[in-house]
Amino acid sequence: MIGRRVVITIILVIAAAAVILLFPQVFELFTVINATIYACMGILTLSLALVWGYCGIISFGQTAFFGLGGYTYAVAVINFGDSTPAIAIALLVPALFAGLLGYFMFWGRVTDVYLGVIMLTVTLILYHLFNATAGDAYHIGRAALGGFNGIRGLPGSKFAGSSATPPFNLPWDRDTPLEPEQVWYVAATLLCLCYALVRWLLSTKLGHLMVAIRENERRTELLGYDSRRVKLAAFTIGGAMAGASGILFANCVFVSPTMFSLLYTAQVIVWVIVGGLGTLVGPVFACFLLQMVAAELGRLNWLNPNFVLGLILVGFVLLMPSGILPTLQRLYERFSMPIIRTVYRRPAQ
Amino acid sequence: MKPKAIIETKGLVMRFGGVEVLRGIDFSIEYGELRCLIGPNGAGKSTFFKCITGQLKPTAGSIKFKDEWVTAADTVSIARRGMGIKTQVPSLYDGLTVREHIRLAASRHLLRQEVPAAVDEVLERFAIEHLAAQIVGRLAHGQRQLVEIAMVTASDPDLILLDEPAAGMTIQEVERLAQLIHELKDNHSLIIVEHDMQFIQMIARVVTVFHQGRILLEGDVHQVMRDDELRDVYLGRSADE
Repeated sequence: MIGRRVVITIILVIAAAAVILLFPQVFELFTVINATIYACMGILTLSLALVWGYCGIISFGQTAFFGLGGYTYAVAVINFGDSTPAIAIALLVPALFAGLLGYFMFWGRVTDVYLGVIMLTVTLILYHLFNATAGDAYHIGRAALGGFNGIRGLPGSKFAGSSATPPFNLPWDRDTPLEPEQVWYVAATLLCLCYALVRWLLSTKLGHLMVAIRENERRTELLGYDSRRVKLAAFTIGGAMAGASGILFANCVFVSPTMFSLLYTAQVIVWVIVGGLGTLVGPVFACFLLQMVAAELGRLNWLNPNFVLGLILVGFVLLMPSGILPTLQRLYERFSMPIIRTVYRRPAQ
Repeated sequence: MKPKAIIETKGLVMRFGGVEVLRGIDFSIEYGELRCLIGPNGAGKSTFFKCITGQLKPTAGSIKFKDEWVTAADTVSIARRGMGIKTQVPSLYDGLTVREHIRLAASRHLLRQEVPAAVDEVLERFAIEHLAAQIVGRLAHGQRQLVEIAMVTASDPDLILLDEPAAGMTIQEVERLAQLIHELKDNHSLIIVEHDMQFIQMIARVVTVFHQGRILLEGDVHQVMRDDELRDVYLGRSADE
């Protein structure tokens, strides 16, 4: 007999597939491109929700891997002319960078807020580093890094002079680039896959150990588990996910040092806090919701969206510190349980 | 032939700045032995536990565990060699359930398919099946103590260190704990720090008395209990007077 959980999962998969497929048919291109950006930022949010929310690593610089993913993809796709190897390299570079950085931090026993500060500093270093790459001298192969303006399309190509990075093409078929609607399919599907991957990961022994380390690292070591290895695994997986998000961002926006900026760094932290630290759906939901709010507010000339974002964060920290999803779960338990109990008792009377 | 010691310390010294908490501890227990450590607060018992589990690096001296020198070893490698500890203040995962605690401990040394049966066995042995789905952060202190001991047992160490296991327990829980410790003695060596003299008499034959970072007395529990020096130490008079 099929369990209730399996049925719910199948229904959710079908619903997600339907939304992904129908979205470009229902909405205009501008909305589809915006939704693609939200989906890629959703993957970045998931990476922080995993690393911070489940493993307790205060990675206040997840955008370092996001930016590296974007830059690596742009450089590789311009040089190879094909997105297939570029994607593989752009996943590998942020993952390796996260692994290397994580090794030094975790083996050096850097924890808590100190780790947060290091990550923030690394992001800002990368921001200033890539900002300082204006001029012809700064290029990797055929790709000029472009300083503050970011990577521009290759002269002579379809993207010459524009800020657009060459988009994905069909695997090993450089002559068939994907249309924006198709990039939406890729981004939304990847978001769902990343969610499923993280859910699965948290159900494994590694996932249990991540939560155990978040709860009590000393106890976990006293049981004989090397917390450094577990944290390194979580950090590297989170780095690869943030890199994947950067690749998608390069496809639907463009690559520039802004990817490393404090604005993006802060936004992701706000989405995770508002959605609910220690949950996955909550941060992704907050990511979509707050980006839509920011987009709407951006149309008003008299109000700065970042000011409103700050107010929302302060409001949540003061009034709903556990975030949207945990608060909704608590409310549901509080108000639905007495009703369920009453309904359950009634037949016996 | 004299049986081998499972743990042995030689001249163990632990200094924090100018304060010498351990002043040359020579201690050993044999395989399968149960030893109680007693002594007033500040005698160095918990620091001694922290040194032998690798949580603190001793200033001087050496520690041998299962015939290997572990003086400079870290917590993880000592735990993996077969030492488990229940700390003085219960060290648990407040957001996890009792079953998740036991599963985490058991899954380090067992195959995945062996874990569920081992978890059930430990829950049953400690009579905490009814708490299995409870979040540990919501349990009473005595229950938390029991969960931590159950968790340590589930990791199947050769040497179990229990730091004040009976603190905060009801009389019934203490009696049950004494019975459990007798059962554990069949397969494990145990070192237990405790203040409750009645409980000590229920579980131990040999006790070691710590005082001001030194071993003051060691011997049969009943003889030690009658010793004037011990009475002086607990009443606050210096052992040297």
